[in-house]
Amino acid sequence: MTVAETETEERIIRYNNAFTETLRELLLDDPDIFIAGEDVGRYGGVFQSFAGLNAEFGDERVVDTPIAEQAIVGLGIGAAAVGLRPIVDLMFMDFVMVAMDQIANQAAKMKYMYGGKATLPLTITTTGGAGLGAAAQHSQSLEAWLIHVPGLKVVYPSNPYDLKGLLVSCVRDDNPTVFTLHKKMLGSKGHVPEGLYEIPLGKANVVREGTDATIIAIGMMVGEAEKAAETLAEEGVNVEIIDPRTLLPFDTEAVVQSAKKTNRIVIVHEAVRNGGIGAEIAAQIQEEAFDYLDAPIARVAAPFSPVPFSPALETAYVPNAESIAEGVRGVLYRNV
Amino acid sequence: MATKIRMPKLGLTMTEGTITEWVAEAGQKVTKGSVVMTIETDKVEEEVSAEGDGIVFHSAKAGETLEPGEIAGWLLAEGEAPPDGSKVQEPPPAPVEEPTPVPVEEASSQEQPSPEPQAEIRIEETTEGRVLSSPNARRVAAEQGVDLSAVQGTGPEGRITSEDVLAAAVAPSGTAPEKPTTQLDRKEEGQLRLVPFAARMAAERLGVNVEEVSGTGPDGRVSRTDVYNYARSSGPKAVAARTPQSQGVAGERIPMKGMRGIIAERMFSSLQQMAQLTLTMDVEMDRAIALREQLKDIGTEEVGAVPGYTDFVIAAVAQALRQHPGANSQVDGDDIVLLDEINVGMAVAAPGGLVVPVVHGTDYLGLTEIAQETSRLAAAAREKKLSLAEIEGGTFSVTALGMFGVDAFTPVINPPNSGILGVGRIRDDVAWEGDLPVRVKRMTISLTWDHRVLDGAPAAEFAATIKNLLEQPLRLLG
Repeated sequence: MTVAETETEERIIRYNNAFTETLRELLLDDPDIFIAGEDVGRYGGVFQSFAGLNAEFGDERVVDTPIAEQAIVGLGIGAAAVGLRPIVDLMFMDFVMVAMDQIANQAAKMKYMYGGKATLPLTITTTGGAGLGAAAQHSQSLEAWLIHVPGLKVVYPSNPYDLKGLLVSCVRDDNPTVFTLHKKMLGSKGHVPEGLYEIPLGKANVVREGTDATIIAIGMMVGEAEKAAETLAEEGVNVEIIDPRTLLPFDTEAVVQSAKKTNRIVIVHEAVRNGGIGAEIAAQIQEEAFDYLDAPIARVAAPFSPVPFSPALETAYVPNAESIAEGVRGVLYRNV
Repeated sequence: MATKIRMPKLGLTMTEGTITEWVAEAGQKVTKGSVVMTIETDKVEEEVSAEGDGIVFHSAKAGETLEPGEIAGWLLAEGEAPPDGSKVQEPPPAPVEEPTPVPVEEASSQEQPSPEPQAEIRIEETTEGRVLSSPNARRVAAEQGVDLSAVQGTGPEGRITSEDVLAAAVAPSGTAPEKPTTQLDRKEEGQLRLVPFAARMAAERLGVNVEEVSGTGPDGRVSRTDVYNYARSSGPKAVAARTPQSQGVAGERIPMKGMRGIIAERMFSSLQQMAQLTLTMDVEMDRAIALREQLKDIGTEEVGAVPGYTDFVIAAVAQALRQHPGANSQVDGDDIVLLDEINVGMAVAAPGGLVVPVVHGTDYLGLTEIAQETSRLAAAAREKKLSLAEIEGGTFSVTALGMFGVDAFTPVINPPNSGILGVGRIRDDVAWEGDLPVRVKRMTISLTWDHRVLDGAPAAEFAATIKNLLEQPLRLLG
């Protein structure tokens, strides 16, 4: 008996393709699911994230909409309220603001306003983040606005595997969810199994175990944190990395546990530092683990300014492995 | 409205204070500014005044020791209960006693070095100070029973981290922590050993070779707990001035705290941290005695103050230190620092313990000026008016036990000094002039020094210089 072929080779695909594949498998899996958004149909999406879906599933299930974000989300809310399971796309996260009344006042509150009788299995997909030279109105990370709204679930995958599992969980969840892709990660690759699987919402992932400090990173910053961890390992610093994956509800327990273990925390996000999700995470940690901290919780985030258009400035604006490593050295008091 | 009566914070280093007496009894009405209690710390006796009007309530009894800021009692309105829910205490049974001034013993014998006045020190100015420590450090310190004031912090502005506390828990106090280096250890040829940063930091702080520590983590990873356990099992066993656990020994118990506690810790750590050894040398004192007699004949009005024998020794030490800068030094990190100033401290037996007032700029003072300064310090000590500056900055110490009939002994260095000179009694002895025995006055000096700083030969030369100066005392007149 041979032991060969017991493990199949890892299936490596792109983040963007994982998204398309998941949507396709979901559309095949559940006839109540449909997709609507700007250019998602014939054109296949501005990043080709929806490529081929319209051709395969037709205009009724993959719907091109006018350029009217408020109407797109409103359409989704109405369809969800009467029993469908819509996925509506807001091309850029920056456009969330146009639809914010529908998201915050309608989608998030409907279940509460109807005494729990309305269910709203609505998924809003969008793309956030800088790095493509798309300038101040097409590069923002606005997750902090969304996590301020009770009734929403906010998800931000950092790799293709999580993307698939989290997207399935979002679509199958009976509450409105906002699912954010990172534009600059669309081409990144990773292992993704075929077929549908779920990753539970509200559950953080310990990306790397460590003892000396914890980096809590979201979205594209997880990859940068992993690079920083390699650099720091060479310096003898053994960092733990936690990817919350779901920003709302937030897995406080996981980060508190890690804080108690390493006593030092660095929170990394691409959004501006002021009023960012880092502030909320830091506050929660100090509430639960104040007596375990050996250094003030550090935040590595973008400066308080719009995302610059100049590629040189944009590079300087977005946190990276280097600035994350520096943040870790800071909480270890090694750069003072 | 209730007003707190708190243990005050007097000076940077104060970590606790004991209520010596409730001047205002429980239930007594007091007005703002009137003295309600007296407290003592390791250095100071202080009166605490009411910060408002009210009826005094005692939350803590006389004799209790509190941390600065802790509530000792309340000033309450008529019929008001203390806001913290304390139960009303009976007025303390101890009667109010007038503090009796400590009598100062004057030098009574010409044959003996003058005993120093017994002194207690009162610090006039209070400063607000705070030991910076991380929350985790405070938690770990509480768990380990480590006194944070004795821990050196390695964070910004000396902030104490949990690693510092754990290191202090197993290392002799005061060990200078170092910033850890970062290279990975190679256990065997080509094999990378996993030593996390925290473990490395702890190991370097404790002077533990990580190679010797067996790791309990995955892949033999060495955790900081492994390092601490290793240091505990193989390092110096006793590292605190106190025994780790009470054995319940029968007998009267005197808490080792306040001044006693500080002396215990300082002296113990002095012997733990330095390579101390003592040499003794005889000094003929006939000329010093004759000079002192002459100065006495001239009189205080003209000379200012007639020096005692300790003053002779202080003057000789100061001059000798100029010639032997190595003895006037301090170990700082990896370096020996030759100090710019020569400030000789004099150890004084006070009722609560040892006090060391300092003669600043000793080498610039002549013998009679030193005598004036020491008597001024003595007077200040008598009136409890020694300032913090007058007990700080000593670079070398002189201690005398001659008045008790002691010839030679092994003084313990007062950290961070590198030396201390013990002064014995002046005794009748025999010297030989050719074949003829002659009667001489002799005194033994006992020099304890830190061998890290000074080898035996230079230490002996330093002692010989002191001896020569004392035997040619005109040089000391300045």
